[in-house]
Amino acid sequence: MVEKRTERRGEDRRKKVSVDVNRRCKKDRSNSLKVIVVPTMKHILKIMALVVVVSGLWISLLQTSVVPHSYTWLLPVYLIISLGCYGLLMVGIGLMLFPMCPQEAVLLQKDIVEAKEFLTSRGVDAGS
Amino acid sequence: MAKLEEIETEEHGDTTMSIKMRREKKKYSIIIPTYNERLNIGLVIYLVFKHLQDFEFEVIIVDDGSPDGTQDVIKQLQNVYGEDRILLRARPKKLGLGTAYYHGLKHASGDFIIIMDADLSHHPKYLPSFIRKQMETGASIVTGTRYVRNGGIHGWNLIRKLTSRGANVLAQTLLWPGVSDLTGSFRLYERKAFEDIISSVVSKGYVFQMEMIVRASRKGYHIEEVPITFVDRVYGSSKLGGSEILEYLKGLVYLLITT
Repeated sequence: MVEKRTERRGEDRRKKVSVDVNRRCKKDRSNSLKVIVVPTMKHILKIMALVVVVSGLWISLLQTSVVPHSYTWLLPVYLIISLGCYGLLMVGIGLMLFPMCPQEAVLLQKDIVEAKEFLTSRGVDAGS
Repeated sequence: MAKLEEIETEEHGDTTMSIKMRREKKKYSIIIPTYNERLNIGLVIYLVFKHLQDFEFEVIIVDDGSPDGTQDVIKQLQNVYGEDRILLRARPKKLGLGTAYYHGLKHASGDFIIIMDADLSHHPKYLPSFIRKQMETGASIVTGTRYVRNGGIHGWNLIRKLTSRGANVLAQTLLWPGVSDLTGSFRLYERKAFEDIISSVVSKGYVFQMEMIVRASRKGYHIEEVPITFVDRVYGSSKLGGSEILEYLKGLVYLLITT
């Protein structure tokens, strides 16, 4: 048991050291590479990349004209409409399934009464 | 027979759990920011002590110079529970939520930081489930969520629900945060994670909570959720006005650009 514990402590220490080293390395790397590489992609860039990919697909559809042009032109409109529908649907579902807990309010009132009793008996001003 | 076995293994599981707990007894620092909470703070403290009897913890109250005598009540509570269990770390005036947590952190001695509200919308009975979840999963952050089974909200009217759902859908679609309740402020953090994340957060108000969890998610911290219920007892006064919605949208754009 005791051995196990000391072993664990040793491991912890080792872990700590390795974390420190890691951190230092990271710092050095980020300092030297800051100009060249963005360490993490900002979220807005991810979304913009998605938009670029989708519009790329659309333009290629327009170019190849597999589907009639009149349909392809309307696709972005459909996309926006479906996005809006998705949003409304999610809000609607969320509202319908909104989790309620009226019983919790009752339980809380009981707890408050109990707490007030205890506090006033101990000389705490519980604002009866 | 099978039933008996089941009970036996269950008991066995319990004892190993308690041995585990005793071996590596962790300390929890609960940071509660207050402003004019004279009527509630005593109740919260009583319930915290009632539900956390098996754990080692301290409560750090950061009071922003409440004029209603909150600090007097806290001093009385210190007489009951001990000054080493309830730490009053007041600030002279209202300085905001984010800095209140930072201020509390400086005085915290625990391995884990728990943040919660003082107005009883967060019930201390959920604290053990946060701690248990952390022990089971080894997560860096456990966040309370109101939007799942066994969670819930009481005391909101339709408009409040609508704005809340709308805000949630907007944030989920734009930010992909990986957590269901972004603006909740009932959370448990590993100390190191809390220090790391809070140092890069700049938002105030309840956008602060959103920025904390989104940054944590982007930094790759292991985040787990537990269901909580949220009982709004603020009689009459609605906290959500036009300026709050504007602030929320600004926060959303800010997070889109910076995280």
